[in-house]
Amino acid sequence: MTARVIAAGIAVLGSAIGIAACGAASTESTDRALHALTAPPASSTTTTVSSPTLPCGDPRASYPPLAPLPAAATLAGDPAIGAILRRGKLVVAVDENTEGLASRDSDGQLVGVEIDIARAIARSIFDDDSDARLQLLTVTTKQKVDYPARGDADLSISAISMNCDRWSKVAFSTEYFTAHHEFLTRTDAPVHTASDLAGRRVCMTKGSTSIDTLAGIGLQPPPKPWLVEARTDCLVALQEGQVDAYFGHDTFLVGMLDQDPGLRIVPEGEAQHYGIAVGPHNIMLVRYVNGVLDRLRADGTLARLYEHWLGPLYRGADQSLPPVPVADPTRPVADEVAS
Amino acid sequence: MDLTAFERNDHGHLAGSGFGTHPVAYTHPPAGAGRDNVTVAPTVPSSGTRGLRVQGLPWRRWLTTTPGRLRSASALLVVGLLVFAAVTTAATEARSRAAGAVATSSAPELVTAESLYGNLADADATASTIFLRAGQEPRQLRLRYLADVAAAGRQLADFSHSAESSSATRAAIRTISERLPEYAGLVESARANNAQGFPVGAAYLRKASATMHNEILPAATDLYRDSARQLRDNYEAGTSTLTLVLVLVAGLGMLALLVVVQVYVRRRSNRLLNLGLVAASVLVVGLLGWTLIRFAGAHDALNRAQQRGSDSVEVLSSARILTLRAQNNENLALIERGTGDVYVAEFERLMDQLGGKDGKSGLLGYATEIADRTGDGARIRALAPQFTSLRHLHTKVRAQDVGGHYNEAVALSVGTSDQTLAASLGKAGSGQELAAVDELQHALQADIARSQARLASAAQDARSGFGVLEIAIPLFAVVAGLLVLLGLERRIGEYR
Repeated sequence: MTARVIAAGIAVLGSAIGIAACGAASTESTDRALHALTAPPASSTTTTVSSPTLPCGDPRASYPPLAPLPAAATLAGDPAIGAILRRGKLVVAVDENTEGLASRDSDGQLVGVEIDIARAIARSIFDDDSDARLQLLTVTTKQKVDYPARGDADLSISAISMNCDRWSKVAFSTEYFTAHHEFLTRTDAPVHTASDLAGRRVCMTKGSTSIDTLAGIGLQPPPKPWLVEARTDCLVALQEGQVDAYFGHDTFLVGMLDQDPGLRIVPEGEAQHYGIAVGPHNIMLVRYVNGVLDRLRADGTLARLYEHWLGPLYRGADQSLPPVPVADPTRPVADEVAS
Repeated sequence: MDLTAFERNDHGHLAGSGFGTHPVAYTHPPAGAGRDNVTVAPTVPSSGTRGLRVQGLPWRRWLTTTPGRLRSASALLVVGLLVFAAVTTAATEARSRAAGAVATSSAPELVTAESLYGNLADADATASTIFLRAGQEPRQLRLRYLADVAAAGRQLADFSHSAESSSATRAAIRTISERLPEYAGLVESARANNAQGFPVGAAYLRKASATMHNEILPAATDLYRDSARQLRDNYEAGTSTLTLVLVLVAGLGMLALLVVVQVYVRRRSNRLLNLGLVAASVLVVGLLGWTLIRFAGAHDALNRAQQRGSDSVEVLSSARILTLRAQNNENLALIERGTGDVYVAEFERLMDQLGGKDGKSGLLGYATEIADRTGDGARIRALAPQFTSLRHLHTKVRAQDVGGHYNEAVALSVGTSDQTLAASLGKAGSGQELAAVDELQHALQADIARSQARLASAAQDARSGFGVLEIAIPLFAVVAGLLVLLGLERRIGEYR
């Protein structure tokens, strides 16, 4: 009997050892589940590399307008205009984050001065005011020059200040709006002139001309730049008290004041000349656009658009609406074609 | 147990020091006594005799006598039983504690950590969906967002109440407790601004999402990692080979001892078996067997808890979280209106992680392997078409957005109350992408619940039965000890 008991014991022992041998807890599931949660996010691939600024003469000077404006069909031989006609629609890049110039209304429709200019150009090219003739692409500050430069859009009408750096990538139309650099600060902030912002934190958009402009003012000690992706991030930073001021165009500032009455504008005043960016070799398209712009200037449409979309905003911010700029069509066409 | 308790003290006086030494004369050799049978003349402890004396003999010599040997044998067995009982109790206690920790703390904590993470991700995805539906905010989505945030707060409280939290866990809880109200505040700012048509609303939502992704979710990941580690430690302690080997060595050693004594007694007496020893052996074998069977049972239950429970809870929860995060990135890409390339790229990356190109690889592929263990593989495999349809819808939404049809893109993704717009989207109508995400994540959630139930029941199996065993071990040892003493005392008594 003792023997049997021992045998039974050995049997139990054997099976227990067998079970014990089937391994310690595996960590594979935990590892894979955790890896999925902690893998690094897709990184932003956009890196702005500013090319050396070449002398370009007066950045406001554009090519002479086509006058009188011919029917676009007669220009079908031009590669850029021909492509637009064959496609059946004009592709325009717009920055929808600027109330008054281009933003979405409560129905989600894009509205503003720039949208109406785009519409006018499309209507002129196709002699047709159907919405199908215009395709709007929304772009960021960083993309707004690249789209026409790469040919992803025929035009970019997105509050682009003309400067020599940008002239090296695209061609510009004549000026359609004059903006001014100003500071936006909280009503209760002890900031009354630009010099009060020396050494303080100032919010700006990555890739914008404001960064160079602010450095150019020469405040001592220099303000600390707080760079964000989108202009509205600067409004959040102001509201949350992370920065002392936002430095940007009055076109953006008046829109922000509309969203938050607890803010005010501190003048700085450097003028910013907005032009429509076009692919660098599409000179004929630039001249055609200039022709359309001249017509909008001449018949008072542009002034009416300013008043309709921007008038209330500027008045609400105690700013005077800038006058319609005078075109400067003095860039020699032959030069550009030769290069 | 005191050795002397079984000695007869009828012969008088105590002498010497130490325990119970007194002179006893063996005048009548027991019948059938063996060769070591010694007759000793009565001795009176003399002043010249030093050391311990037992039954009139110096203890070393007494040990060589049969009763001496029998008595030492019974002492040895009793001590052996004590050691056996102590070792078995300690080992059982260790395994029982580990299994109990799985059932009462680490498994529930893992589940809490996973659902906390899930609720946070769901809150974020829902907030951005609501944002896109501005002006026609669906009530049930708003309620879902609020319920998510409330549940996350509750689960956070549950966590801080659980006693043994590491410093990493406490830091993570602190981070989430600080950031969650901030997050909720940013979401409300986004909502209020958006309701008035202010573009800054989108900036607030972007900031809320950044807070969620850069601060809150990493802390939630820490909580999850800590709970997973705790659970793994418990699994390892609950199935440790050391405890098994200790019990085996103690039990088999005890049995060997019993057999040796049995053989010795059999040689000394003419009886084949000593009933006391046999009964004690049976008890030891029974106890050893019982312990080993319980160990094997608990081991098996813990393996089941992991293989069929926590493994799939972890993988499926991560899959659901990836789904929700992908949805949130899709929403943000739409909210950004053209500035959302980063979010589109992140959506693609998350979807690749989730199911590769076709929903058959990635985390879903692995989840299928795990689900096959429980025969649920088919259900996970059935999610592949839903996954591909989500990817397909994403492509359609992006095409609409890039093509300048923003309202169509939003309506296709999260829905619209504009009937004409909805009708223009074809038979499947508006909100197709949201519906696809919901279908996918609800299916995952249902399987997570099944896995949680399997985990809880296996963890319960692992700890059940240890309580009785822990009472039985000392009881068996005491009874076996008594049986040994009684059995051998009768033999010893034959030498009186």
